[in-house]
Amino acid sequence: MTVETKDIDFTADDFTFAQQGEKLIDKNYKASSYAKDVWANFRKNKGAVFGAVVIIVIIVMAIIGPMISGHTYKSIIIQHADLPPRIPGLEKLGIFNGVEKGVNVYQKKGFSDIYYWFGTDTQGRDLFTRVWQGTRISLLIALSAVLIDIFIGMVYGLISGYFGGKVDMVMQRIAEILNGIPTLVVVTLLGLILPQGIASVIFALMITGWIGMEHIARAQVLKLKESEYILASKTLGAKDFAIIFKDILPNIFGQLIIMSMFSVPNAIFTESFLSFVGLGIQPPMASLGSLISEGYKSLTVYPYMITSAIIVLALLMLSFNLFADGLRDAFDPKMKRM
Amino acid sequence: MSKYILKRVMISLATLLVILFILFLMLSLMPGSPFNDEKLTAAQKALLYAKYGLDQPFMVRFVKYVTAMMRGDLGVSYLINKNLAVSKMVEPRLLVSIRIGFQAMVVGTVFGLILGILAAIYHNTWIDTLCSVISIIGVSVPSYVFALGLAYFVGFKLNWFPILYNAAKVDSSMVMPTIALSLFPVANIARFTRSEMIDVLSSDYILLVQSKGVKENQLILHHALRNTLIPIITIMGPLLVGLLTGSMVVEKIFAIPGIGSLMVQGITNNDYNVTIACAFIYSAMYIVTMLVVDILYGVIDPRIRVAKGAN
Repeated sequence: MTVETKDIDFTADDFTFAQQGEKLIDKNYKASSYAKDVWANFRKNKGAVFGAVVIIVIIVMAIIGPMISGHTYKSIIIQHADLPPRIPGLEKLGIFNGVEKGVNVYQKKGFSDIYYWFGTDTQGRDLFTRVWQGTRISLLIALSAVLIDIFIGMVYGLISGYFGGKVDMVMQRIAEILNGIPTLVVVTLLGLILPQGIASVIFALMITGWIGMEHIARAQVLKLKESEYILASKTLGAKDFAIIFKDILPNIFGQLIIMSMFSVPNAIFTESFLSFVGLGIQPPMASLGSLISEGYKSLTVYPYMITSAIIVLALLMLSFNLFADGLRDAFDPKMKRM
Repeated sequence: MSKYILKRVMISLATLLVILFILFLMLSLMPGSPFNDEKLTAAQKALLYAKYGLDQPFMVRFVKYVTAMMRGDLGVSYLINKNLAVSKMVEPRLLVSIRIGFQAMVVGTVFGLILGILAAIYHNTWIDTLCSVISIIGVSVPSYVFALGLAYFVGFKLNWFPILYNAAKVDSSMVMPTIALSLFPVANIARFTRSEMIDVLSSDYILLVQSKGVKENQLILHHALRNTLIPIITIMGPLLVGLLTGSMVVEKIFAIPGIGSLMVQGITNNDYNVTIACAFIYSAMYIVTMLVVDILYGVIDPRIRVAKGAN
C-alpha cells in the first residue's frame, strides 16, 4: 500500500491560541494549601478531634482546678476523712450526693453545707484538688518528654545516622546499653542521690526516654543523606554540622515532632508507674500514680478514692494516643506504618 | 548467617558485661549501706564489711563477682534473708515471673493475631471498629489500672478468682495477673496485624492466589499470614520488655512473689547483691529477647539475611 504524500506550507496564520487573553481558573475544585489540607484531614478523624478537645480541657482544669475548690492539696482535716463525692446541684439527681452504701455520709457526720466534688482521702484531703494537682505533674512530665526527645534523642540520632561507620557503631552500642538497664533501677538509684520526686523521674527519662526517637531520627537521616541536594551542599563546601542542622533537619523536623507526641503517653505512664510503686512523687505532693497507689489500699472499702485519678489518667493517655495518631495521619499519610 | 549470629551474640555478651559494670558502679556510688542498724558500732560495721568483702577496692569486687557469677553464684543477701544465697532466693521467684510473663505473651499473641486478622478480613465493618476500640483502649490504659479493675470487679465483686496470690491455688491465682498483663500485647499485636494484613490482602500476589481458586482459609493462613508475621516479630521485643515492667506492678497488686517485688525490696533495703541480681536478670532478659528477635527476623525474611550478611 502506498501512502499519498502532499506538500503543505504552514504559515503563522494557520495557528491561533486556543484561549488568548483569558485566564482559566478551576472554579469547581478550589486549590487548598498544605495547612488547609492537614486541617481537613485532621478534622475528619473523629478520634483525633476528641483527643485534642480532651487534652485542652485537661490542661485548663490542671491550671485552674487546684484553685477553685477552696481546699489545698495538702491541708489535712481529719474529721473530713473518707467522704464520698458530693457536688451541689447534681446531688438532687441522685448522683454525686455523698451517699455510700445507702447512707449519706455527710448527713451522718453533720456536714450539711460541705462539698467535696471528688470526695476526700483517708486523711481528709480534698481529692478534687489533689487530682488536678497530680495532673499538673503528668503534664509537666509530658512536656519534658517532648523536650528530651528533641534535644537529646533527635540530635543523637541525627549525628549517629549522618556520620555512620565507627561513630554510628559506638553510638548505637551506647544507646543499646542505656536501653538495657531497666528504668526502674535507674530511677531508684537516682532517687537515692537526688531527692526522690519529679526531678529523679525527669532525669530517668533523660537517660532512657529518648531511645525510640533516636531510632526514628537515625532512620530518617540514613534515607536522606544519600540524596542529591546533600551531595550538592557538600560539593559547595558545607560543613557537616551545617548539613545536619540546616539541610537535613528542616526536612524531617515536622515528622519527628509528631513522632515525639507518641512518647508522651509513655512518659506519663512511666511517672505514674514509678509513683505507684512508691519510687516517684512523695507525699504530701500528689501525682496521678501516687493517688492511684493510695486509693488502691482502700479499693474494696472506698472505691471512689481511686476512680477519679484512674479516669483522668486513662483519658489523658487515651487522648494523647488518639491525638498523635490523628496528627501523624493528617500531616503525612505515608507515615502511617512507621 | 552463622557468622552474623556469632557477631550478634558477642555484642550482646559485651553489652551485658557493660550493664553489669554500670550497675555495680551505681550501687557503690550510692550513699547508705546495707548495715545501718544504729546499734552497730563502727568497729562492728568494719567487721561486717570485711566479712562480705565490701572493704575491698571496686575493681577487685567486680572481678570477683563476675567470676563467681560464671559458676552461678550470685553472692548472699545481707538483709532480706540474712546470708541466704541470692540464687536460692531468685530461683523460685523467677519461675513464677517467667510463667506469668510467658502465659501473658501467649495469650496476647494468640488473641492479638485473631483480633487483627478478623479486623482485616472484615475491614470497615463493626468487627473492625470493635477491634480498633479494644486496641486503642489496651494501648492507653496502663496495665496496673486494668489489673486494679480486674481485682475489684472479677476478684472482689464476682469473687471468681483469688484477689491475692495463693500458694495453695497457684493456677487460679495466675488467671487475673495473666489477663491483666496480656491486655497490652493483645492491643499492640492486633493493631499491627490489622494494618499489615490489610496491606498484604490488597497486594497483587493475593489477587493471583484468589484467581487460582484457593480457599479463603488457606489463603489467609498459608499465603497472607506469613508475610504479615514479619513486621510483627519486630514489635515482640519491645512488648516483652513492656511485660517485664508491667509485671512489677501486677506483682505488687496481686501480691505475687515474683522477681519484680524482690527487686523493689532489694532497692529499698540497700541489699546490693539482691538488687544487682534482679536488675541484671531484667537486663539479660531484655538483651536476649532483642537477640532472638534479630536472628528470627533473619530466618523469616531472607532479604534481611542477605543485606546483613553483606555488611
